[in-house]
Amino acid sequence: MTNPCAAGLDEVFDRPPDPSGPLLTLRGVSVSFGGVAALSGVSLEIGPRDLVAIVGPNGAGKSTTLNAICQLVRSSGDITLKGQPVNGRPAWQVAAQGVGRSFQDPPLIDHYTVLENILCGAHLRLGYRMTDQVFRRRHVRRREATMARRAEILLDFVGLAGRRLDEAGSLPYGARKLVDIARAMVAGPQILLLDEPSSGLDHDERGALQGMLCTLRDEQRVAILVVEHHMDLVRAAATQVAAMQAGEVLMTGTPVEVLDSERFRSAVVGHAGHGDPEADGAAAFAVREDR
Amino acid sequence: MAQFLVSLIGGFGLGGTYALVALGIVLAFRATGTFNFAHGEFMLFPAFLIGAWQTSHSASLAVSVIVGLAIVGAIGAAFYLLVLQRATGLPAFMGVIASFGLAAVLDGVMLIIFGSPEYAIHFSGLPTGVVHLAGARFSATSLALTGFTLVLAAIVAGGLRFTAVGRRIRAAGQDPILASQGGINVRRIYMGSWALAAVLAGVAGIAYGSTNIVDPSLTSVALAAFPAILIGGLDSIEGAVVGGLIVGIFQAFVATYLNSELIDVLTYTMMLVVMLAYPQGLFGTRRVVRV
Repeated sequence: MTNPCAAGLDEVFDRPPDPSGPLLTLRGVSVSFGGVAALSGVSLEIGPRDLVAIVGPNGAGKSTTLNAICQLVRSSGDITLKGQPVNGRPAWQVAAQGVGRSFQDPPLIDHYTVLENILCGAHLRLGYRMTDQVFRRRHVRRREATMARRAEILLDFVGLAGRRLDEAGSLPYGARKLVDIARAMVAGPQILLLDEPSSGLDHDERGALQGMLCTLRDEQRVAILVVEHHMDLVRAAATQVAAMQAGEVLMTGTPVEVLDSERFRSAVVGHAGHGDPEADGAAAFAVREDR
Repeated sequence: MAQFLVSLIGGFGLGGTYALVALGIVLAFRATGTFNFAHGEFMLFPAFLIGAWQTSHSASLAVSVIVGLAIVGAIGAAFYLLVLQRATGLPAFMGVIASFGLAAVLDGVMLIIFGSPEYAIHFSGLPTGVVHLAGARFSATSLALTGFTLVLAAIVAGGLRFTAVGRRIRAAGQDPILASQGGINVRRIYMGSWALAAVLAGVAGIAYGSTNIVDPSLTSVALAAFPAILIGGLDSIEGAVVGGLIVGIFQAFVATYLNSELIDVLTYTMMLVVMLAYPQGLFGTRRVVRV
């Protein structure tokens, strides 16, 4: 079913990825902080229309994996984006290649409006020079108007159209997360890295988020790598799950293969579950509690 | 009335210099969180170079201005690249101490190159003579330089607020990770901020030196601008300009109607009173910390 708020998304995601071959590949990626290994030989592969969920307890290296992809931390091993290596490249260049990233703690500018915060991600596509400000003002205005229109489409998509002019500092935590996600999408990325997007959202909002992720994956072919603790969302939306523990990928597979496996339950949750929804809820709770 | 007008216009002249100095310090602070104690040396170096050039060359003074500002801008950029960038993630206090080190090194270098001279800078293109206004007499040179510093400060502040480059500088100063994910080359912006800060200091030094004797005590003008920064708000571009004007006009009136020996005491008293009511300064960002 098409999301009614998804109108205009084609205008935002105007650079759909090449459907052949993986978009993002990690091979033996390791990160260490002062001798402490945060990631050890992580390997993952994400293609268009993949929605890969990374699950695991706190300290498993989930966010560090996203940081390594964005080059916000130094890593060894191979990370390739559309076949091009990204290791050692500045974070802004990785973002410009089509990687959108939201954060566990949304880095919003509190005294900016919601719309202005989303437009912080627009510099990726504005791309005009300093001299354009003086000599090509119409060109600058046209590009800025285009990005403002994309931001409005995304505000509608994430359900914050009515708060576009509110200061970000006045928003509850869940809404701040949605602003951050919209900011990550405004440049029309081909792959989205979302760090705990559902934290702070209530049950209904989580359901809406699930619909958004599925729309992005199915209709816009956006590849999504999401760090998530709510197993109901993972079951409903993910095409693949990577379970992590102590900086390593414990196992990968479909949500059923991973979340229902005794190996995952005993290693990550700490006890074997029963495979029924109630147990899933308990497991999800246990994982959240583990944070 | 004439005395009042003399104080007011004299205050604007001093305030314009303070505004340029404060703009530079705030720009550098927003980029790297470093309060730059070498800013006075950035002011002095081009003024010394122009003074020395004027006494030993018959070539155009404009060349010496360009060379002086280019050198001091390069010093600012190099200080970021070679010192502050490498100290990223370390306590901000290290950068402050490093700026003390830079000040000491620049003092030593200037002593070796120039000795301890006194120069008077004369720009042949500036208007000369006396201007009569409401019964008061003003130096045409001082009026021209006052207008120049005020206009330049307004252009810089306006450029930082209304142009795309300015928005990038402000975004990188607010949150480097957010900026990098928005496609902003944060390192280049920080390097440019330090270069621009140094150039603004150099312009302020040259402007101040054009109506005063240029000697090593010129560095104390940067220290005198510190209250302006705290009054305006340590992280506020507009606050730097307003704070500079407030302090400049206040000091001019204190010197005229009270006693010039009270300037420092009363300026810092005013700063403390403002901080009692507005701890973040008049235009500074008020950070809300929930505990």
